[in-house]
Amino acid sequence: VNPHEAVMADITAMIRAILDVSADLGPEITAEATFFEDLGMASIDLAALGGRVYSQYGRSVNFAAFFAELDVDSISQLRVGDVVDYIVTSTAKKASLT
Amino acid sequence: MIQVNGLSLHIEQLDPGDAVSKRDASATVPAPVGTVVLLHGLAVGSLATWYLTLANSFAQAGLRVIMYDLRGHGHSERPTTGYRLDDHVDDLEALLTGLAIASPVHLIGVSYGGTIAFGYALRHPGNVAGVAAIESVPMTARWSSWLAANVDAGSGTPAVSAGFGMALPPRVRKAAEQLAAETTLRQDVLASRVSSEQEFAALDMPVFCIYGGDSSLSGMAHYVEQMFQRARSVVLPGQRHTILIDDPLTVGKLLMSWLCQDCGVPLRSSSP
Repeated sequence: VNPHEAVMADITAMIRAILDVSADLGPEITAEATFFEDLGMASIDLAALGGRVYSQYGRSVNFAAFFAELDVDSISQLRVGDVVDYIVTSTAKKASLT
Repeated sequence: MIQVNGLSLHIEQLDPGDAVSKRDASATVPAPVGTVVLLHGLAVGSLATWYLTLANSFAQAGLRVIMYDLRGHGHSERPTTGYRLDDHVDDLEALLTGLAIASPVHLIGVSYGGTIAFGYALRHPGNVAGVAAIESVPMTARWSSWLAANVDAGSGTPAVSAGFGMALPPRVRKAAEQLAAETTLRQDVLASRVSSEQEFAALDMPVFCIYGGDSSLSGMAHYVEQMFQRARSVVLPGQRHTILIDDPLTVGKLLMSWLCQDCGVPLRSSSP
């Protein structure tokens, strides 16, 4: 399985859970979708997503560090694909270390 | 989520190891050098205020980091009543008890989160190693009067923000108005028990206050610094009430140096 596709599926499920919407009712979740404008999420939803990512992927993916390096404008324009890329890169790094 | 006083509160935590993992995922989690509890502000805040700014820096410095959404805020449960200062202090006490935190913690609050931190320190001084507050004032009669004068009789919270000179994004404003409409938040804040300056003066832990020079609270710096035995304050020129969001780097440096120098926490160097 392509790691991007697998992570995208995980993230999509997490976003639906946070927004409390089912697959057929919620907004279309694509790699290009922005969290704030397209998906209607708020900053607290991003933080909650960080918590879910931590539960699923463990210490290898540090969302708080990812956010800490972004300014307010970058966070407001963040796309689902950016997060997926970060997770794929982080988990690949872990695999190469172990 | 964590169950606290019959409510479900949204909590997020970072261990010192979370930051280490960025360099070496196989590293073992080091023992924390201390615990910080980060408190957000009223109505327009959530734990994201911290999660998206300084939470990681604290973890990187070797601290265990605890953040939660206050009742009614973020993803926490929203009861219609119970928003007096003492209710928030009760929640924090129940949360720390629930997490079995044995050693005294450092409380760092922004805006009303700082007011909660001071309120907690007053009621549970033995549990608190230090209090840092950003754009915040303890709940004295003077602060209560300021709030009363700046909370409008109608919807409440957005007018408080107007008092701080903040222009809120429409979505944030709407969420704050909804919170004010659905709960007794406004009445409860104003009905909160006040404590005297003398009561706060009895506290002997290190206190640190940061204000924005362009904030309507900058005049409180001297008042708060004089109130405590071991307080220090900094006013950052040109900054507003939203200083943590606007300049997390500077605020982070100030808080780290306070933790290190005033509180004696053996922080780890953040350089690799």
